Amino acid sequence: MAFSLGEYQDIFLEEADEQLQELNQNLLELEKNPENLEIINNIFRAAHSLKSSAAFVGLNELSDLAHMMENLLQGIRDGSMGITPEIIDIIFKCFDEIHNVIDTIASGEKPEQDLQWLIDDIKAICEKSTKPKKEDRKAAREIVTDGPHQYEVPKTLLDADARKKIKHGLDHGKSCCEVTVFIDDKAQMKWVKAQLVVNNLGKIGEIVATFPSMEDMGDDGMNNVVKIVLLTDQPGEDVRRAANIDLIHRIDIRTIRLSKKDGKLMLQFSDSETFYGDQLLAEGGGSAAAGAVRGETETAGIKEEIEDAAEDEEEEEEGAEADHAVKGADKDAKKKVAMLKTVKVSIDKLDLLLNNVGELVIANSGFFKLYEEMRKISEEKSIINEFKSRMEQMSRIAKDLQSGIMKTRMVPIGQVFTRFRRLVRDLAKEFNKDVELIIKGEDTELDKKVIDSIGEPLLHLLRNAVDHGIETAAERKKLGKSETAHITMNAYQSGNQIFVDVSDDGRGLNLEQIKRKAVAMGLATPEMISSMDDQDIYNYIFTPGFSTAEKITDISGRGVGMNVVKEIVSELNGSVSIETELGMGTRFVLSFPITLAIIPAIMVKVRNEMYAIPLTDVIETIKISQSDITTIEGHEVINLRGEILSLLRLSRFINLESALGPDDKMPVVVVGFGSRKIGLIVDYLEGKLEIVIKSLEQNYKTVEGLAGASILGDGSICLILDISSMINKVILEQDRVSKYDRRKIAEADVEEVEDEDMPVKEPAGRAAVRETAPAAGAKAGAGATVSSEARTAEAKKQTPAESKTSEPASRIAPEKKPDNIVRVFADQEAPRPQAKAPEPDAKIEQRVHKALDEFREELRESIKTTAGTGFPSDHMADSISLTRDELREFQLVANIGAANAAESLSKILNKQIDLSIPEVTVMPIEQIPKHIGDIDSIYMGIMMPILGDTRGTVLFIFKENSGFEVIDLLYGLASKTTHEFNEDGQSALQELTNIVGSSVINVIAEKSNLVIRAGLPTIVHDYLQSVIDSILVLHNMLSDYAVIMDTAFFFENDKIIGNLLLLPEADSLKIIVERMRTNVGSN
Amino acid sequence: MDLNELMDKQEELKVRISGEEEEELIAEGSIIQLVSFVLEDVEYGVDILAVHEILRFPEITRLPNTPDFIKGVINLRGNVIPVVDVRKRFGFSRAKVTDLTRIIVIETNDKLTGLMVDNVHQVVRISRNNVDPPSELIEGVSEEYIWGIGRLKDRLIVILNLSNILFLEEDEERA
Repeated sequence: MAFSLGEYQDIFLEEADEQLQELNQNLLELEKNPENLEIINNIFRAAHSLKSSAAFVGLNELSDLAHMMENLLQGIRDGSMGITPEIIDIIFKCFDEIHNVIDTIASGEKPEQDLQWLIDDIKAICEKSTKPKKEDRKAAREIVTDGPHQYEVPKTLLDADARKKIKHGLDHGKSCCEVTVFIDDKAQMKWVKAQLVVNNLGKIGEIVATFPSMEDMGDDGMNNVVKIVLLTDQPGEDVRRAANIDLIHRIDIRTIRLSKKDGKLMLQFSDSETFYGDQLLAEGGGSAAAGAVRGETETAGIKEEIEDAAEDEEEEEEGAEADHAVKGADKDAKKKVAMLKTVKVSIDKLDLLLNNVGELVIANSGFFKLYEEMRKISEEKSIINEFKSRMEQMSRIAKDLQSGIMKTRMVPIGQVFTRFRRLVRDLAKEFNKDVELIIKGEDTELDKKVIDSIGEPLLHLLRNAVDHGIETAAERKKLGKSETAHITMNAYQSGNQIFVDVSDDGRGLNLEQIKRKAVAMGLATPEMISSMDDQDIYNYIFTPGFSTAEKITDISGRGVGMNVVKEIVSELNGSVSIETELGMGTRFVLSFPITLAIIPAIMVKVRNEMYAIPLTDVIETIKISQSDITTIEGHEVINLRGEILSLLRLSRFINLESALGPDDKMPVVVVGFGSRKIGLIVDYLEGKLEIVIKSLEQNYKTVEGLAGASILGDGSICLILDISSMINKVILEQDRVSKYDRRKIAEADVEEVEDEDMPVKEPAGRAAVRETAPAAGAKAGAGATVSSEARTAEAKKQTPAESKTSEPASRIAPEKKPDNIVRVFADQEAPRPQAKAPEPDAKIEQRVHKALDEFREELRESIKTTAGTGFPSDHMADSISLTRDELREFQLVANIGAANAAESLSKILNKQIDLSIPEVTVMPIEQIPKHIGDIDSIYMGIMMPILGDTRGTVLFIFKENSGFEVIDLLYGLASKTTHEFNEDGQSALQELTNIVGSSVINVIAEKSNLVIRAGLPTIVHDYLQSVIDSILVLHNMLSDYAVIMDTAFFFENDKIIGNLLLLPEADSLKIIVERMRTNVGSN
Repeated sequence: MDLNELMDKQEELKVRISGEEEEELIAEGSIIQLVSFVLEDVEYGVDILAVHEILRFPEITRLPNTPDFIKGVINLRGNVIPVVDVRKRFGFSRAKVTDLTRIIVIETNDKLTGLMVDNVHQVVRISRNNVDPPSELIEGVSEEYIWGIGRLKDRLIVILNLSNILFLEEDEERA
């Protein structure tokens, strides 16, 4: 069975804990103001009550320790001992030991801590630091001899305050008496007896003073005799009876009256009546009539005391001091009152109440319905109105009640904060740093659950601040900072959030160090880091095992703490952010929702079913129409400001048919969890509501996609969506797809190899188109001629290289004709003899490399022989410091990107789209328009900027007529319907470019591991020269040459639709290529 | 006091005694009380000690992503509790909700669950001696939901095993 102290254990533990906190608190104060007597008194008082309560529950060792502490404090209080750091430390040690004992008991075990060493230590310190003891205490006593016993009776010394009290009491018809209680020698713990007597007397009247004072009673030697001055309206017998407990040897009672002498008010003591224990016992038996037992009047201590006369004059001189004492007393009184005002209630009870009140609110709302009904049928308007006003009153009360109970869950954070004063002090000492903890916003209230768990994260933050954040005093001095470092804990509310700050004015986080560490730990590559913003880099410190500390101390440095901070805070639906300045300090801001029980939520509907989405998960709400949605791999996505956002239809998730028609605008709630986000398509948005979360697990079990349920005002249940699980589900599916994607890309590579090996089909086709395009030749300069020659050469020279794969490829070729989507799946399922399942990317790349090498070699040969000049790109490439190898690498990426683009394009257009091999060339800028096409025709150019780590432009360009045709295709109109480039057409082309361009950019991003994204596409509808010019303006080209990747797209009938150009800035190209290499290398 | 009166008195006494006896028997557990309902001409019984309350058909909220025999959740004075469509659970076709449709709220394993039934018939007392272990004779209803078969004077009553009827482990294998 667990160890227990009996029925008072809980009370004791709770009290002891509070007292300890108070002690810690006060001692810290004392350390700062060693002269402040009030603090010593406070400590003394707390130590004293701790001693009593420990003795009460039978923890004698603890009681002894407290007693020793009290002795020590007594010494400080009466000035016989000075406050030395040694003393403070030993007292702290005591607190720790006591705390240990209490913890042990709380965990249900018997405390076995040995406290003797501490007691001995204290004794030693006492002896060492005791100044010669003043004897004034002894002087305040007189010796009373009573038969064999000898008692030290303390003198009655009433201070001004007490005298006033007595006068006041006597004026109001009370009687005043001085009770002297002689406690039997045999009694154990006499001070307990004395306290009991005091308590009993306190019940029948007002205790004016006791001698020795209540605080002094702990010292056993003094407590054989206790004097109590009592104001009461009860007769003397009652006083006697009240003072009469067992083991009381003798009771003396003297009444005190007011008398006047020389015009001064004086207190006059009457003769004392003495009662002995045996009589008392008899009386206590209750058989004898009160009057029958006669007090024996003794003469031993009789004398009239008119001691006050002289002192009265001193009163004014004492004034100041007395006032001080009164204030102290007042403060105490207030403190006591404040304590009485608090009632501890278990959270369960509160929850139950909250539940019931919630019911009340709901039940009440039922009246509103009823009222509506009654209003319809009733003629008695006055009654109905009366009913209404009553009903409204009731609902107001119910709501007040509800919010009131919710508030009871809120606890001020001060109690958590103050605990850390001690910790910071100890840590600062340990590290030999000078730290001051500043606490602000103690009154800020947080949900009890947050309060209960916030301690640990704060602890870690403080440890880190002291250990790593703050410099030593010497260092600080050198840096010109104040030697004392400051750590500030602050709590405040803003909006619906509570913020808790921990800030220090120390070193600040070292960004470079974190970067290095992140790279060293393999969390990121140097390039990734260079593109990240500082906040993201700082966030690495929350990674488990992440520590920049050079040495691990037992306090911190293992890299666990910050991770714990993050986790606990997230558990409480909160978040952590870091603000830091190197050399200036660091601030951690934890934010929490105001209450966990009630959350704001966005209500959505599918048909007539209502669902709640916690507002914390919601990023924005938008409206889209069916045409905005693109399907990629069976997944619906939209382009939201240049970002591809996966969609999830809530109706599908909950298995309900959406009520929306195909032409209706669809509300989408964009929700995020962590860094992921998705768009949730719903039927209707119903607005914001505060809801109370109820778990489904309580009576059922966890249901996928649901975080719980809430009961709405009308009593109906609304389910709360679990956004994180929904997002995870979507991501899981996407992962599956991306695997599939990878395979597909791999096969696309194979296809391209095949394409290359098919000399007749595409390149030739393209060349043919080129040649037939009448304008192509007209203004074509040297570059264009070369390129067209190159193509012819390509067509010719490729023939020998193809033999290996051309046969199976041509077998597959017809399969390509039918609908493209079907094709993709067919490719997927039909095993290809030569592709042997998906080959690893690297292998394919090798093959592509090889083929390209051969091709290029031959190409160069042919150019050499035909044109007699060098490869024109060579010197141009040199001028923008690119090697041909680098160009070649880029072409690889371009290949895959183009393949992807074609893929998406054929899906959007629902047509078979073929593409030419992307051609990467370096050419003089002024030749670009000529290279692309007919410089005097009007084109539609859609430019999509590439943003992020590299810069450049994706240009999708159509000849005007082709553009119109594409628009027709996109809108499903008959061919040649569109003749005008209107807004709809523009947005269609923009969307098209978005999708196609993104697929290219994604490939580059994936291959190079760069963070790049697509910007918003813009349209230029003008002569080709102008289209290109607008890009050049955008790019701020420094070089005369540019690298372009050019791919032509063809319909099934080999009719060119448009060109996709990628124009990276030269530097960017270098970056891409380098990154690709490191990437491939690391694979 | 004439004979008739005496007879009445005697009768009364007998009833009282038998009543007391019965209380005792119930307390001992040798007599059990069942709340019974009828589904497809078969009478089923639920141990009255497990019955929390019986409700008229309330507003019910569908619970997506759960097995189809979970009708949904209801608000029982602030508690969100699941409702099992007993017909579905036993593999019968879904019936219309009528005025007689009731939810028997039962408490098992500290959880409240509603059983949606077509009607609540009556409360029956039955001696434990008259309860047989489940046999395979009961048509349609899987054996694991049955705790025993009670024999009454004129009819049989199928006593349900509540912890199996809901919980929940086998849901997964069904789903």
